[in-house]
Amino acid sequence: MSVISWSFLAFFAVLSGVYYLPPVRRRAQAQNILLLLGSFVFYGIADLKALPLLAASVIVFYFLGLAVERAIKKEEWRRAALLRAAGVCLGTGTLLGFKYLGAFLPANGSGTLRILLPLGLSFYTFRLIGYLIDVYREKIPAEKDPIRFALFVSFFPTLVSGPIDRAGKFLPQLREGRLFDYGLAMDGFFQVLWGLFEKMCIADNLAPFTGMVWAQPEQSGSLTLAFTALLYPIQIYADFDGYSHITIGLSKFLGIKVARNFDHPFFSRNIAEYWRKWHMSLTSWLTDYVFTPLSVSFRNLGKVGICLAVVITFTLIGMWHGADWTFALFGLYHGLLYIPLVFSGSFQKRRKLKAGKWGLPAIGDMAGMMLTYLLVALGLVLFRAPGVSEAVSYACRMLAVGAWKPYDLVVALLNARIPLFFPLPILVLFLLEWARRDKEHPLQHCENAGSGKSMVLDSCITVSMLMAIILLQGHTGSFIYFNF
Amino acid sequence: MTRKDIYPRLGAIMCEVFDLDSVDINDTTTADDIPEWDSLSHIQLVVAVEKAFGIKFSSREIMRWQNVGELADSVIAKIG
Repeated sequence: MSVISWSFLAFFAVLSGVYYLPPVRRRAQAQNILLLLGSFVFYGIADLKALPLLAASVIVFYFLGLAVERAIKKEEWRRAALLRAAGVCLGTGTLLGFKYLGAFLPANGSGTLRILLPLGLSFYTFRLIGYLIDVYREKIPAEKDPIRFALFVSFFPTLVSGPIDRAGKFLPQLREGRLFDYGLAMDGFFQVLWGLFEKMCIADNLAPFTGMVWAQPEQSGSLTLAFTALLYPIQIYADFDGYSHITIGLSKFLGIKVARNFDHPFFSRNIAEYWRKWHMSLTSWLTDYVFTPLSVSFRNLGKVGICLAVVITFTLIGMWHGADWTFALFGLYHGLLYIPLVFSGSFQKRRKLKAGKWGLPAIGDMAGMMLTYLLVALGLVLFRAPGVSEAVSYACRMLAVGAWKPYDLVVALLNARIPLFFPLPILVLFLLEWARRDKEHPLQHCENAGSGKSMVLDSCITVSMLMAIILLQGHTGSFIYFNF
Repeated sequence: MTRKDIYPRLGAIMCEVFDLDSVDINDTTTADDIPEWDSLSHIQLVVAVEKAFGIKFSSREIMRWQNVGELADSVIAKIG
């Protein structure tokens, strides 16, 4: 059941309608049970065979958390460390088993085992491992209520593709009953609208064109390949950021705030800034549980130690995407791009973005943004290619500037039947994101929620966004990050 | 020795590591209160504190700190 479907809309309407009905007494518990049941129904419909694994993971980590806390209270440090290590090995072992086993097995008629990767496994496993490590580090207490713990792991809006929530921020929200908050619900509604616009009007319009070029790149001209490589970051961003806005918006409607996933990454002036703004819930998870322990261990090596920790962390980020060398090299490529920043000291510097002339970014900032975008686009050639040799061949051909022929590109665009208006929603995306870059999403305006002035503005935004979605939408496809 | 005895020295180290003119720290100060305090500068802070006090923290100690007060406690426990 995709979040962009009439069946999901009906599911969510029924669930959220019942959600705010429970009486004041035991409201939190009733709402948590309802959300948990809803999450298991949602997951069961999407991937019934994977439901037992999700349920087993919840049960095992619930008891592991309690056991780690008990060992710490008794000052049995070795036992606590062993239990944490067992949990981390179990989680990563399951994840690696499902992700990588298929790559080493011969394909049969129906494909390899990789196709059987349980839906959302990566995302809920990261939640479980993070929880256990935080209990071990005594940053949070172990959750005693099994309903709350199970809901933290399987909360349906974020179960399939994140954002990856942290127990320390998510679980306390489940302890109190949620009352309907008009301002938060409207903000969530607008965030969903913005997510739908990104996914349906940008990602879905670009997907047929980039898909066609990538299916047979040898049949496309150099300029077409370069153009496709430049469009792909926008497509993948609109797809994943769109999905993230939809899930965060739905959660707000249920009175729950989940982690932010993107912070306008294309306004980044270097690759370190880009990764602080791209898939933030994953990068902050990896910072806390991989990069920081590594850099603590390597701390006496100075900047070399930091580079080592960065390169290892990024290679792991790449490998998380799948069992292909292209993904490992994609991660390594980004890790290596950090090295000059670490040695120059600009890795750390955080300068606030300021508008220059005509409200646009200053020239220096703009140059940094464009260079970062080009580096990201080049890296995504590795990410998108089916193999390393294909990626190298694609990159060599697209960089042969002498062979660029505009005629080839026009023919390719016509062949792919890409709508002629496709730059329009992209322009809207960049302009609105820039103008509203201090907000969580461009349509956020909850300051006057509930007032007459707000009602008029709310109606105008709703009507114009729905019109844009209806008029500019492409053929709805699945979300790219469902594969990971 | 108390936390307050440590703070002037810790504050001076933080100013140097975070490249600040002055820093106001207390028991509950966390990385969220100082924008320059991120995952990378945290490691540089640990190295600078170890060097300044001639001590060595374990990985578990470093990971457990929730605020400046707990960092000060670890320093006090090491230097006695």
